[in-house]
Amino acid sequence: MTGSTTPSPRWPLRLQLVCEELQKSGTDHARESARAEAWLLISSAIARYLRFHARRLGKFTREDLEDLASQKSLDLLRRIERGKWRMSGRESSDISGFLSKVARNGLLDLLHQAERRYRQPASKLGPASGDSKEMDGGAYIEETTASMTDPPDTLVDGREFAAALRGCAEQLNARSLTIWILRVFAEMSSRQIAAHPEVSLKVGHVDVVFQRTRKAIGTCMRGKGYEPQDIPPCAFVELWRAFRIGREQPLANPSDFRGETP
Amino acid sequence: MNEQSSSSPHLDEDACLDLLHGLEPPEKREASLQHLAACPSCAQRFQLMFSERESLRAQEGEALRGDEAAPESTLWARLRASLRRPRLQLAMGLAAAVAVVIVTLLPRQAPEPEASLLYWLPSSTADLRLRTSDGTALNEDLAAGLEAYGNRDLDRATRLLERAEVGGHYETIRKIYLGSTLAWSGKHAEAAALLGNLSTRTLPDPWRSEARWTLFVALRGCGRNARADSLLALLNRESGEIGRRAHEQLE
Repeated sequence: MTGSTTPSPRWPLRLQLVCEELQKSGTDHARESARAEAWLLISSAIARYLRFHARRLGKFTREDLEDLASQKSLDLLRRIERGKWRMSGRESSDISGFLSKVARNGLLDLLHQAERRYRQPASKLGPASGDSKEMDGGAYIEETTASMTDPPDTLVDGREFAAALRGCAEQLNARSLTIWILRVFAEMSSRQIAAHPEVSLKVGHVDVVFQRTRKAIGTCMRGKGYEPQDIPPCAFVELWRAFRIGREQPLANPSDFRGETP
Repeated sequence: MNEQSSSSPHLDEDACLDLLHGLEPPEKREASLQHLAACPSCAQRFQLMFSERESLRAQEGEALRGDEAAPESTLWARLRASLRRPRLQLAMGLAAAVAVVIVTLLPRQAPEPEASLLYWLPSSTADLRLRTSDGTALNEDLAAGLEAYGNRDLDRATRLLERAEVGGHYETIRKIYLGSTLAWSGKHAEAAALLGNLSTRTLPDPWRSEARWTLFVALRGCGRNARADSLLALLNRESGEIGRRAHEQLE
C-alpha cells in the first residue's frame, strides 16, 4: 500500500495523549482507564509490526507473536509509567518507528533464544499444539492478488447477505452475539473468548453458548434463503458497524483527543 | 488510506488501527466503512486486525494485573494463618460472601520438588470440611476436589474441581488448584489458559508466587516460550523461594 492520502495515522497521537495522562497523578480510575487504553494501543501497534517483520525474519507461530506483543507492550508500559520513556513532543513517525523497532528486536531476541534453547533451526520452532497457526512468508495475513474489488453483482449479493445476517444477529442477546463474533470472525479459541473482558465465562459455558448461537443463526439465515457458512467479507464489516462501533471508542478522556495530526 | 481504487482509497493498516480504536471522526469512519463493504481485501485486513486486537484484549487482565501487589483478602489471610498453625480449625469469613469455610490444614514445611519443575500447592490431606455460615454443606465438589488434590489423586481432583460451581474467592481457589492439577496431569495448555487469566494481584503468598510458578511451568510445557521467559524474568526479581527457583532456571 503506497501513496497515503492522510499525513499520518491518528493512533500514535492518541497514544501520546493517553501516556501523558498516565504520567499525571490523576484518580485511580483515570489512571486505570489510561493504562488499559495505552496497553491496547501499544500492543495492537506492536502486533501489526511483528506481523510485518515476521514475514522477513522467519517462521513464527501466531501464539509467539501474540505473546511477544503482550510482553513487549507490558515492558514498554512499565517504562512509560516509570518515566523512562516519554512521548511528549515526539512526532507521530517517531512513535510508530520506535514501536516497529521494538517489534523487530523482539523477534530477533526470540530467534536467538530459541536457537540457544533447542540448538535447531528457527524453522523448526513452535509448539506442537495442533491449533497453532504457523505463519511463513506472510501466510498469516494473506495479501490477496485477486481483484481489489468484487464484480457488482457479487457485491450486491454480499450486501444482501450481510443485511440478512445483521437481522438475525439483532435477535441475539449481547453476550451471545459477542461470543459468536469472536469465534466466527476473530477465530478465537474458547479459552480466549472465556477470558475476554466482554465475556468472562467458563470455557465450557462459552462452548455451550456458541453452539446454541450458531444453531440460532443458521436457522434464521436458512429461513431467509441463505447458507450461513458462505459468509462474504463485507458481512463482518456490516456486523462491526452495527454492533461494535460503540464499544471501540477510546477508553480514556475521549474529549481531550483533537484527532488532528500536527 | 491509499488511493488504489477509482471509487475510494484503500485502507492500510494504520487506517484499520485508527478505525478499530474509534479514533476516526464520524464522517471519515463512514467513508472507511463504505469502502470496506465494497473491498474484500481491505475487509480481510480489517478483520485480521480486529482478531488481533480482541485476542490481545483477552490477555489484558493477565498482562496488566499480573505483577502488581494488592491487599490480601480475609479468606486468604486466614487460610495462610491456618497453614502456620498445625491442625487448627478456623472459620474463614469473607466480607463479600455469606459463606464461611472451615478448613483443617496440615502444614507443609516446604514444597515437594518433583522430577519436573512443578511444586505442589499447600494443601490439606486430613480433615477438610467446607460449610456455610448456617452450617450447611458448601459445595461438596470443591471440598472433595481439594481433598483429592491433597491425596495426589489427579483424575478425581480434575473432575471435581472442573465441576465445582463457586463464586468470588472460592472461584480463585478452585482455579489455582485446578491449574496445578492440570499441570501435574501434563495438560499444560489448559493449565496455562486457566492460570493465565487469574488476577494474581489479589492473591497473597504463597498462592500468588506458587500460582505464577505453576503458570511459568505450564507455559514452558506447552511451548509458549516467549511468555514463559518473560514471566521467569519477573519471578527472578522476587525474593525467597520463587526467586531462587527462577534464578536457578536462568543459570
